[in-house]
Amino acid sequence: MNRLARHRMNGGSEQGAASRSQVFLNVIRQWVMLGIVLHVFVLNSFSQSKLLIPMDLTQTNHLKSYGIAFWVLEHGGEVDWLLNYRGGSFLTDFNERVARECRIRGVSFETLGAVEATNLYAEVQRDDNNMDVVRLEKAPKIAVYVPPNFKPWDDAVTLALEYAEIPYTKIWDEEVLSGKLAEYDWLHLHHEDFTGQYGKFYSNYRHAQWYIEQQILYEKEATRLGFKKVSELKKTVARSIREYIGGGGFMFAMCSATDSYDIALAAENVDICDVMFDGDPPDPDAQKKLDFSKTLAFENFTLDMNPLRYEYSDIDIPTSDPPPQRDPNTDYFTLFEFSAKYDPVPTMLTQNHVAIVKGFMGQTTAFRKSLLKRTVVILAQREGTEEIKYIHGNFGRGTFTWYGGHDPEDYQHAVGDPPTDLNLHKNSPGYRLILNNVLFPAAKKKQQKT
Amino acid sequence: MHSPVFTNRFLFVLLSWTALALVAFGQDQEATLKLRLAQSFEQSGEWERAVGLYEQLLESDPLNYLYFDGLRRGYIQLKKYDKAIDLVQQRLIVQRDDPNLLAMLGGLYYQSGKASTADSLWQLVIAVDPKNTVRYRIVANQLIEHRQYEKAMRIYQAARTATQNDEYFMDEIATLSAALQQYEGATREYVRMIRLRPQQLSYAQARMSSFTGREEGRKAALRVLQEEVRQSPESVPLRSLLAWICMEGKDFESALNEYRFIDRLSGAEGMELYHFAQRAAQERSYLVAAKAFREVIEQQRQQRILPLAKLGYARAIEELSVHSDTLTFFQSSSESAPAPHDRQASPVSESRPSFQGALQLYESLAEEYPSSDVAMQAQYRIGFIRFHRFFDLDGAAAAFDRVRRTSQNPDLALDATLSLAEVYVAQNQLSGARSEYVPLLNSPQTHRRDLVLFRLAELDYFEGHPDSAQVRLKSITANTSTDLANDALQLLYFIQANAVGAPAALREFAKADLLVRQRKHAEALLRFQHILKTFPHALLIDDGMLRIAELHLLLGQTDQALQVLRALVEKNPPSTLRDRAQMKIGEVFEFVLRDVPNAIAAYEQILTQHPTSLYVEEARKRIRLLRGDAL
Repeated sequence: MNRLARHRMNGGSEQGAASRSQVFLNVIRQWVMLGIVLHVFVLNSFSQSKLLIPMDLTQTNHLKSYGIAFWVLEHGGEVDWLLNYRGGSFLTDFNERVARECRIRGVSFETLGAVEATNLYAEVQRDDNNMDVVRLEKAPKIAVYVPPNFKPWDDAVTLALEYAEIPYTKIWDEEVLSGKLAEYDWLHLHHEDFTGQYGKFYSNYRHAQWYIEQQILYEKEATRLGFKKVSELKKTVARSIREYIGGGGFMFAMCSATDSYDIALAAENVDICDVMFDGDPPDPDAQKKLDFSKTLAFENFTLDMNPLRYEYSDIDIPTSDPPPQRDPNTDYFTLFEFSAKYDPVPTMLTQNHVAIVKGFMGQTTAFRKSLLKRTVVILAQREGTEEIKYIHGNFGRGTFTWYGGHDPEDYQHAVGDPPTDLNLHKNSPGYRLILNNVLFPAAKKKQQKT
Repeated sequence: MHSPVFTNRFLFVLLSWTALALVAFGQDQEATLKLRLAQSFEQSGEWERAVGLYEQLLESDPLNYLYFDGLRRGYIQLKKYDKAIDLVQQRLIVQRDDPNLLAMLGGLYYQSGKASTADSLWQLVIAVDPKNTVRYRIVANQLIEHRQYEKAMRIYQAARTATQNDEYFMDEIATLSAALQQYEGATREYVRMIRLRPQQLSYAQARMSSFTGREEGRKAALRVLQEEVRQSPESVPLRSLLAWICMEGKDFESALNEYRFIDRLSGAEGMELYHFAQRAAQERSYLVAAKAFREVIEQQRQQRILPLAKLGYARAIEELSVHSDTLTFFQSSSESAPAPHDRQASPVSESRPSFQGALQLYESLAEEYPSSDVAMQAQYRIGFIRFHRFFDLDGAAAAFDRVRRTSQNPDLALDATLSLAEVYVAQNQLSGARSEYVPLLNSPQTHRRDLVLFRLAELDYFEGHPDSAQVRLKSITANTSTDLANDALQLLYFIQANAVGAPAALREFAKADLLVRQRKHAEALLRFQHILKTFPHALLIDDGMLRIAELHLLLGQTDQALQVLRALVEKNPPSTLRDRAQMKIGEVFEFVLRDVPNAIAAYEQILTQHPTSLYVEEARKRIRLLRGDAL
């Protein structure tokens, strides 16, 4: 409230004409001063030019661009994520070190002068444009849940993190149970089976050395941590992760870590594992005893309890056993478009330079639409089908994002297949969706328009 | 004739038998149907219904094992352990002390949470006949089924103690140990196996390879085998296994040591060492290969393999010389060409490898085994070293010519002819080279034919016939899958770009290029400099500058080279070779001057000034390596 208004409210009519004009002059003077200060402030703000990392088709290396944004945050800088502007571009203060790093990592960039930057901000924030600015302020601390015998090429997320040069820490059951999760902003679940059925590889790999060793390793770990069964340990881990999300954590999962996670939560009080997995048969009424109120994303699913089938439930679509015969050239999924100003989170998660993305298989390829909870936001879908590829939801104070399929650039990744060389897929739209998730926790919370 | 009474009685008996048979058949058919139905319920997971049917079936035929086992499975699936236990106990009344049933009963108690009762029962199975290994196996199988691997291993070990025979269950214990990541234990079992049956060495290696691929597994196996070999130094199979482990870890030196013993102990008289040397050479462990080959030669026992060992030794020395030559390249200590048959006084040794030494070895071989295939191969190598290492053209030509004329190996003869033609080019005998190449155009092998075509196109270019060169080059570039296609395209475009606009400059340029091929570097330098002065507006000026810089480098004139490269980068904006020149500047700083900051700066220029260049990726990689990034 300015002084003039206050003065009127105080009944200034008793003052003489001279003092009234004095007050008026003072107010004018103050307005002028304020204008100058604002002008100087605005000029200062934009006096330095900006560095724009475009994320449209002109970008030479989309994946490493995320690494650059992370690198800027790590070095104390700030990055503005321009949602829906040229594929979700990044804007930061121009600095020769950043420019140099971009060049060395092969990330293309443009430099903007103060006026251009001002215009750009104005354009992005215009009400009639479906764009917005999200400020990224702090490099999130990333944890990847992986077993000790993990190889980076087993998992698309770690491949993406390694390629984009984004640092992460590996954690496993003990760290989760001892509460270490709280130290991290973002948790990624590896291609893990939280049901304790060892990925349901029993039928094809029960005699393979890696399978036997994995089973023994997991059992030893379960015993060491005080659990009779691996399935019990995994269920407890799943619950700890749910608590972490509820407390404000960000969880990202791919492939079988998604449905197996929810199955483990639903089966909290029931044995769904057959004798070859935990030494005793499952509860014959397991299906009836599932508690869907405990899950994050799915409900009313039906378990596939045949131990010889490479499938957990009917969540996965198309089913993995038998593997679907599809033409990779015609398998695509579509990203949904959200309002950048009203739904910034789903918008962030779907930033891409294309709207239609090449499909890819996994043990869990996509999620059956009819089994999704109503609170879950669908981010991508295979058009005209029940197949939901990419979902997001809130739980407590945190969020979860799940992405079906194993490797966005290896259509049908099988056990023992060589790792994907991301140097050959620098502009992979499928991998971009993973990396959107990595930066998402760095975003400064902004008051929403609604 | 039978009486009617007799006939009636006979008919009565017959009918009665038929009726009884029909009833029995009907009952059998019903049971079979029920069994099938129960099995289909089982398969579809409808255990309650399956159990109901199995109960009926077992009631009608209590001794039938199929019904018993089906019902047992059903009870287990429904977690009705008490019923399953009762069922097995009932069966035990009929089949008293049956070890399989007793072990099964133990398993049921274990599943129902009564681990101590289970253990007692399993102990009982064994206690009935503690010398019977079958009983141990039955119990161990039950334990493995219930994921009690360590206990199963203890049962196998108990069987050994009871029978006082360590030969039992070696494979089983080894497999369990490996799965439990007890690699030392697993190795000990395989050692035991080999001690007992040496012919199982390959089997043991195959099994052990499941863990020797990992460092911790390999180290554990190594510890055990070293210890075992210390105890049994005369055991060839154990030393073979130890050598194999060493080779798995790429420790060829230690493997060689083992093979020395193996060779001596098995009386192989060098044969074992020879095979090892071949393997080491294949794995590019040339120093060890050379040592092994030398020892075979020094033994002088196996006359059959002696020439091959000598050839292997010479080849290893040659490869080692490539390495030492690379190391000393920048210290300018290249060797001088020896005269043919000029034997050096200093003995050849793998500790001081040199091309001269290799040459000496090849020449001895050629002399010692004249006309043999080994001699021909040695001659070819002589030609190769004399040509490529010493640029001794006469010596090389003589060696290649000898191989071409006398070798019985057609491939070797063809290679020698190609090499001879190259020597002729270097000797400026271009027509001689052409006459060598032309007959090879009929070669049935496409890659060789293309190579010959390319060489002929080069000859056309050197001799000032750009049109015919283009025709030949176009026929090579039609097949872009070949390695030569790139070289052919490069030369083709160069000729196309200059043949019309500056034919005289192109002719001069080709002559200068020929001088480079003939390693007349100073002369070539002068000619390129002359071209730059004479044809200052020709398109090939920048190519000429690049050649000049390269020649300066070959002549050790680094500053001049940098000066020319900088001029090319800075003063020739339209040139398409600026990025290449800039890259070269970086390489000079990195590899010749060892100036890391300037090398990085030069590579960064590629990124800033030539962002679309083909060299961008390589420049990035070099920068990151130089600044110590983990790639």
